[in-house]
Formats: sequence, structure tokens, C-alpha cells
Amino acid sequence: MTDASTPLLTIRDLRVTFGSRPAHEVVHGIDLDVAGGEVVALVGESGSGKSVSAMSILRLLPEGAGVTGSIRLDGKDVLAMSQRELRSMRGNTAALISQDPIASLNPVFTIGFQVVEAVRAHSSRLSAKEARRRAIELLTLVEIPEPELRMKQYPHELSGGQCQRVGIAMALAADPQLLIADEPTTALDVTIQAEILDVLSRLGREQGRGVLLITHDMGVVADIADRVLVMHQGALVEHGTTQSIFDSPQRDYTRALLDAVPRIGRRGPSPAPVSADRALEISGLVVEYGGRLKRTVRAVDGVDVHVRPGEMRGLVGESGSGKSTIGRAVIGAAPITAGHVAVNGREVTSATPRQRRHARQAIGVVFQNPSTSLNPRYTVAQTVAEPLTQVEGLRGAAVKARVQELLEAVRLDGHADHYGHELSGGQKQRVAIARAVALRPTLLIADEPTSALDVSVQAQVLDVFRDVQREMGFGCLFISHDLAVIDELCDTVTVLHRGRVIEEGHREQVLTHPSAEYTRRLLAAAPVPDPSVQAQRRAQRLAGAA
Amino acid sequence: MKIALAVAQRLAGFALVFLGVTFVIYWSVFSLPGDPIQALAGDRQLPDSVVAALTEAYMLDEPVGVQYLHFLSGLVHGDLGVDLSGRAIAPQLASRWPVTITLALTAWTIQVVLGLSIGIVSALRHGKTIDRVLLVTTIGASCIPVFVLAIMGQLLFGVRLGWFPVAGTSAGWPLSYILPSLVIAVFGLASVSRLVRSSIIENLGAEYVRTARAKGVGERRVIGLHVMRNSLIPTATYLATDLGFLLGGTVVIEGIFNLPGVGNLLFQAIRTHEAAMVAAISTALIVIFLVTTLLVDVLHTLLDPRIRRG
Repeated sequence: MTDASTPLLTIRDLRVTFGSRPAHEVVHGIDLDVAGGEVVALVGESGSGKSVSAMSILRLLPEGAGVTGSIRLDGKDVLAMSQRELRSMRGNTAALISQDPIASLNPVFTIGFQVVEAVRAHSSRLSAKEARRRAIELLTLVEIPEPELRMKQYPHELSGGQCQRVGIAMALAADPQLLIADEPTTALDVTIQAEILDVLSRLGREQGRGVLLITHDMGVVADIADRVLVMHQGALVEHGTTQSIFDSPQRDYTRALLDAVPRIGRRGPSPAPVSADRALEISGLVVEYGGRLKRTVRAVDGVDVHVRPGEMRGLVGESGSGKSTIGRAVIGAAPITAGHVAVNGREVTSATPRQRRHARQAIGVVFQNPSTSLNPRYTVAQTVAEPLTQVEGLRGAAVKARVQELLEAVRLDGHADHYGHELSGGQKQRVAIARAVALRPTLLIADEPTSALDVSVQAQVLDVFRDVQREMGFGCLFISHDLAVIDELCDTVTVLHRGRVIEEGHREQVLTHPSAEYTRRLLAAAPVPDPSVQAQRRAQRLAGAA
Repeated sequence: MKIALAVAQRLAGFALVFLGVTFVIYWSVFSLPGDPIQALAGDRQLPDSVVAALTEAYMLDEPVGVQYLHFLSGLVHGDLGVDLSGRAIAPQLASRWPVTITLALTAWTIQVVLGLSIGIVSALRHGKTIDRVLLVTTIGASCIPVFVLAIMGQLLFGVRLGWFPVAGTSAGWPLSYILPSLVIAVFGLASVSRLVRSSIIENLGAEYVRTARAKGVGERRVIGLHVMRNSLIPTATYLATDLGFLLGGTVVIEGIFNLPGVGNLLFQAIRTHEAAMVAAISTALIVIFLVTTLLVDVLHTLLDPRIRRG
């Protein structure tokens, strides 16, 4: 292993350009070192150049990318390597763990095939049998249950967390000295994230490997990084030990980035909503999918939720908890097997299609992905005007005035004539909010509206959301996996797990003094942007596991 | 159990489609204007007794439903009926199939080999000159109406160069079949190669390809195995459907090259109002179509574990 004085990876003045005539520089000369046994986090928002920088270490950038500067990995100049040398370096000296664990596995080959392939890529002398044994060893190492069964399965038969373990097992196949982990837990639930981070931290610190962790999540950084480099618009803004970056950030950008991260308990007390009316009343809701030839899956299993007028109700849970399905059932996009859904006191489950359509006009919806939920051929104004002209039958100047008013409310006046692709993710989501509230709904359903956005953008969108809600006073079902976001925005919380309600109540009570074991686990697993707290939690978790 | 049920459901669907489509064809052939008996006689005036006898023999005065049921019961007994000249239909069909099948398989093979090669080359060199040249050529070729292409081929390779016979099957396989097969293949080439190209390009950008490279897997294996195996799924579906289509006989090509195939027979039968013949051929085509669809599903299941073990 390399000792700290001669780092495993040394990057000097790395510059990456795309295209030609004129080449567009996206990384403007960064320096970076990673030593063995050290976890270095490269943080930044999307477009900051962090992934591009990391991929240039493996020379895995798309065709047409130009890389200059110097990258020395284990004493060798990566930029001078031939195709052959690159092949023997990849996976062997430095290995990659990708962001999307399912997409990064080939869907038509078994897990065993792919892990064995990784094993044999660098030790072709192994017999098929030995390679297989080694593959099972690797899967055991990353704590996959029943590794021999997994060998025969296909990626789609495994959960996201298990796929990510397979990805890590493949990365470890040739025992590389450097692991490059590109947002390794972004696609995973918090409890799974905690487990994967445990594995990564063990592989790094305890086994002497260098880990370069690319992430936008300050909680993850606080959890496992020793040192942090902050990137912004292709340049290195600040670097230091994790403790110093979190305790005394020097640059405004770093400070803003840290401030934008939502945290539980930052908001202080808030009054509990009291009205006896109900904007939404769900009781005994059961949603089942499948049937006939397929196995029936009960996505929602007897759920009661209500939202008062003006109340922000957070619906929190991990993937598969049924939280999105509940939202879909309310707007009639999921089959209701049993139970009742009433909007403004009017039952929608037993109503005629016409009545249901009418009831839905009182509901606004904001979806997770603003890029796909806006029609790319509509301008901002057309998008917002559509419900006004189609449902309310407004025409001419009346539409224009309302659109202007709505765009001002979401702070987008001046963008009326822009198309979706001309807007940033946060702006698009604000357009979606304006459209959702155009008909002055009494109930708004927001399904993970900020989870596709960067933290600083998320903060802005949540701000807009809060203002619009205060002004219009609709009740809101806010679906999210992020407890901190819910704490900053909502009045009340319902915690879901496997289609059932685990706990329900005022947000302060549920999120700071949870009574259910599951809520406590969820809270403990969500990393907070504070290295000392995370260190304490990790010690507790490992002590508990031992 | 689950599979048995799925197969049963599938077969029930087949039976419905089969009955529906054969009836529509039967009915539409009988609704065509014109008198089959008069068409048989040409310009001569037939004695009333002959007309009556023929009408009786072919049940021409029965309602179409009764005739259809009669046809179905014949099918069940393996009897396709007789044409208006009194010859049994089954042996006539049997003598035509080999020509159509040979033509279809030859054309299909040429299409597979050329289409895959062109698709792979243009995908791996996408955006480069060779890709653009192949794009313009294949699309240009498939823009030419097929009869123009056929006649140009006959003129150049048949008459001028004398490499292949201009028409007929007397020279046997492969000589008689190469020219018509090439015309068919060239016509369908653009679709196959474009599909292969776009599917490979899509898979080249997939994340698992980056994973494979990051593992240190060689480029030849990355493309030959990881990319190709995934690109094969949509390509195989298209090619299987295409084969089914070609097996149905190509009326125009068989006509121009005077190949005594099923397409040719169908064309004649429609012209002479040979209702029984049209129905028999159409029935065969429907069976081919249904079998092809089934084959495509089986192929899908074999190639894609997400469907096999979804």
C-alpha cells in the first residue's frame, strides 16, 4: 500500500473540454490527491464537473472529450496510457462504483456472469470454477444474502441495494487500490444507504484503499469522508478536512451549500392545525396491483390519512412504502381496491366518472420529474394557461392576467415565453407548481417535487412552495423520502412502511420524539450534515451490530 | 401452471383472430362485384342448366354465412375445396409453396446479413462519413419503387450482363432466385440497418457498458457481447416479423419475375373471383402470421430475462 507521503492518486491542473471549434471547458484546472486508507469526498451540484473529473481518472469520458494536465495513479501517467495499459489499469488499480446500481448492470446477463467477468478480466489464468468461487467470495464480502442463489439471478430480480452491492463486489474483483464511487447511494433508500456507506468506509479506512467519493449529499460527506473538496462550475472552491469544512467553511459558496441542506429541528416549533374540516380524507385505503395471471401485490394496505384545509401533511417512507401510490389513488391514477377517498367532504370512490372528473378539478398535482412532466413544445405561459382555458374556459386578457399573477407567485415573471429546455430544473419545477395551483385547488398533491433537484435549488423551490401555499391556503399532501425536507415544510407527518401507517402526528413530535421503532431507525439512518454527530452514530451502529 | 394458462389464453386468442379474419375475407370476396360463373365462361353465353348446376355445386345461392360454415367444416377435415374449374385447391397450393418459401428465405437471409453488417458498421462509426454514406444509400434504395428496382435489375443483370435469368424458375436455386431476392432485400434494407444502428448506439451509451469498460473488459468483448446481446432483442423481433411477412408471398415480385409462388396465385385468384382459392390462401397466410407472432414472443422470452422471469 502507498503511504500518505506519496499519494495513490495525484491530479494536477486537470482540464476537461467537450466539443471542438470552440472547445467548451467544463473543468478548469483542479488539483486533487487521494492516499491509501483515506476517503476523499468531491462535492458539488450538478454541472459542477465533479463526475467528469472522476471519470477522467479512468479515461471513461464520452468520445470527443479532451483531457489535459496530469493524472498519476500509483506512479503511472494515466493520460499517457495506451488502450492496452488502460484496460489493465481499469478495475485493477482503480475501480468504479456507479450511481444507478440497476442500470449499471447488464440486464440480460446473470449476476454470476458479470461478477465472474470482472474476476477474469484481470486474472485470465483462473479456471471457470475458481473464478466462480472467487465471485461468491466477493458477494459474501459485500454482505449479499444467499450469494450462490444471487449468482443465478438477473439484475431485475434484485433490489437496488443488492445491485449496488453487486457493483461494489465487481469493483473489488481485482483488489484495486483506489475506489471511485460516483454518487453510490443517491438512488437508494436511507436505511440501505447507511449500510452501503458502512461497507465503503470499511473498505477504505480499514483495508487501506483510497476512496474517491463523488456526491452532492452533505450528510453522506459528514458520514464517511476524511477530506472534502468542493467544486463549483468546474473549479475547486475549497478543500480541507471534513471537520474544518463543516465547522468553519471559508468560502461563501461552501457556506451557502451547507446552509441549503435541510436539517431536522432547525425550524423550531410550529402551531398544530386545528380545523375540523377535511380537504382530504382517506380511510381504510387498499390498493392492489396484478391479478389474474400475476401475483397480486398489495401496495397500500388499509391506510388512513387526512389533510385539513391549509394543512401541509408530509407522507414519508422508503421506496415500496406505498406513499406515491396513495397520491395516485387520490387523483384516480391507481386502482382503489377498498376504502374511501373524499376530497372536500365529497366521496370520489363511489362517484360517477363525471363527478370524479369534477372532483379532480379541486386537486393540483406536482410530479417528481419536472423535465418529463412539462410538455416540451409548450412555452411557460402556455403550460400555465392550459388548465385556465381548458377547464375554466377563460379567454384572452383574462388568461394573460392570471398567468402573469401565477408566474409572479412562483418568481418566474419574465420567463413566460421560454420553453422547457431553456429553463433550469428548479425553474421547471416552479412552472409545474404554477400550473398545479392555476385552478386554485383546495388540495395539492406533491410527489417528491424536489428530489430530482440540487440542494440549493431545492431550498429555493421549497421557499416558493411555502409562499404559494400560505397565500392560497390549500391543503397539501407532500410525499417525500426526505425527513428533513418534511420537517422544514410540513405541519403534520404520516410515516409509511410496506403500505401501512407506522406513525402519525405533529411533525415536531414525530420527527424529534418518534414513538415507533421504524421511525427511529429511519431517522438514525438519514445522515445529517454534521461530522461529529455522524461519527457518534456510526460508532453506535457498529457497536450495535457487533 | 402459470405458463399453461398463458398458453391457453394465447391459443384462445388465436382461434378468435382466425375465425374473425377468415370470415371478413370470405365475406369481402363474396361481396365483390361480378359473377364468377360468367368470369369462368368468358364471352360465351352459358346454358341456364349449366349455370344452375354450377350454382348448386358451389352453393352460390346460399347466404354467405352458410358458405362460410361449409368452408370451415371442410378445413376441419383437411379439405380446402375445389376451384371453379373443379381442381382441388390443396395440391395447387402445395406446388406453389416451395417457390415462395425459397424466395422468402433467400431474400430474408440477404437482408439479415447485409442489414446487420451495415447497421453495425454505421453504429460503430456513427456521425462519420461512412455512416452518412450508408444512410443515404440505404434510404435512397428503399425510396425506389420496388417494381422499378426489379425491372432495372432484370435489365442490367439479366439482359445486359446475362448473369441471372430474367424470369421464371427454370434455372432453379440459387440462380433464379438471386435477382428477385436481392430486390426484396434492398427494399427492406434501410429499416433493418437503421434499427440495428439505433439500437446499438443506444446500448453503447448505456451505463452497463461503462461498467464493463471500468471492470477492464476488452473493447471487443464489450461491443461483441454486452452491446450486441442487448441490441439483438429489438432486431430479432423485427426480423422474425419480417420473415413472416415475406413468407406470405410478394405479389409484385412474383409477378414481375414470373415466379409461380403463392403471391402470384393469390393475385390470379382475386382477379378471377376464385373465392374458395382466395379464402384458402388467406387462411394459410393467417396461420403463418399467427405462428410468426408466437415465434416472436418465444424469441423475446428467450432473449430477455426480464420477460422470461419478470
